[in-house]
Amino acid sequence: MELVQRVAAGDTEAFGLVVERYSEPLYNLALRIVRDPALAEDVVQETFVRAYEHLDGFRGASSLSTWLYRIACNRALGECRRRRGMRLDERTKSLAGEADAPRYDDETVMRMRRALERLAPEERALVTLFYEEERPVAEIARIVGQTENNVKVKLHRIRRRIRQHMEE
Amino acid sequence: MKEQYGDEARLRETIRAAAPRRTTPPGLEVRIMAQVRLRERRRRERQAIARMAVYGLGLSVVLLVVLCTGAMAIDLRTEWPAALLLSAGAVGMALTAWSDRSAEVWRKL
Repeated sequence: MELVQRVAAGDTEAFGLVVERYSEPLYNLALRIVRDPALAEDVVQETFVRAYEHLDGFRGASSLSTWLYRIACNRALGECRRRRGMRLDERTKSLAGEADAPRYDDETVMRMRRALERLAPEERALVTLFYEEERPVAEIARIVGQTENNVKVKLHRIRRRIRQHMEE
Repeated sequence: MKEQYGDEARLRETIRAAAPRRTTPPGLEVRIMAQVRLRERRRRERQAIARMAVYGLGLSVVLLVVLCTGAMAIDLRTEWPAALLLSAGAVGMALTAWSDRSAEVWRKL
């Protein structure tokens, strides 16, 4: 909260610390959702700018990271809705092409990638937050604006779908 | 294959292996901070303009009161040159005070 107070008072250097701390996880979240590196950069940039402009509206009911993740998630999903129906181009298809997965064979990794690509943007957001960021369900619910039960049910369905896709 | 992914921990590991983390693209943080500093500058300019406007309004009210009081105290038909001179002096002082204050506000941006 001290950092938030400093930023609210116009300390841009304090905000620089926030950017440094959260730019990478937010970029990865945005990238998983929109599957376009350039668009993910735009999402992250808009997230931080919006956060800076609305910091006086941050009441501390949730943590700063939850609040930032929520903004980023909403922006990324908004971009996906705007681009719905557009075909994925080769750049986005090869998004995870440089994987380094020493414990898994290429076939397993490729199957998982294809399974993840077939998920909806909202589902990719949940997968990223739960499996990669290891956020608790309660926090994920606050980030995506749903109830905990909803999130649990969706995660269960996602797991089932991933397993089905992997077995195809 | 079913047994492979029945294990939640294994599923998590496989997902992570398939979606490696990327570092922030070079220059992204710099661009973000440039945008943030620009917005901060604009916010301060808006506040400065508002402060200048309020100060000017206050000065105008004071000036109006002074001039009205003066006009009621003297006979304008006979003493209008002096009244004009004093009014011009009062307006000049008010303008000088306002511009000095405005320069100080702008310098602090």
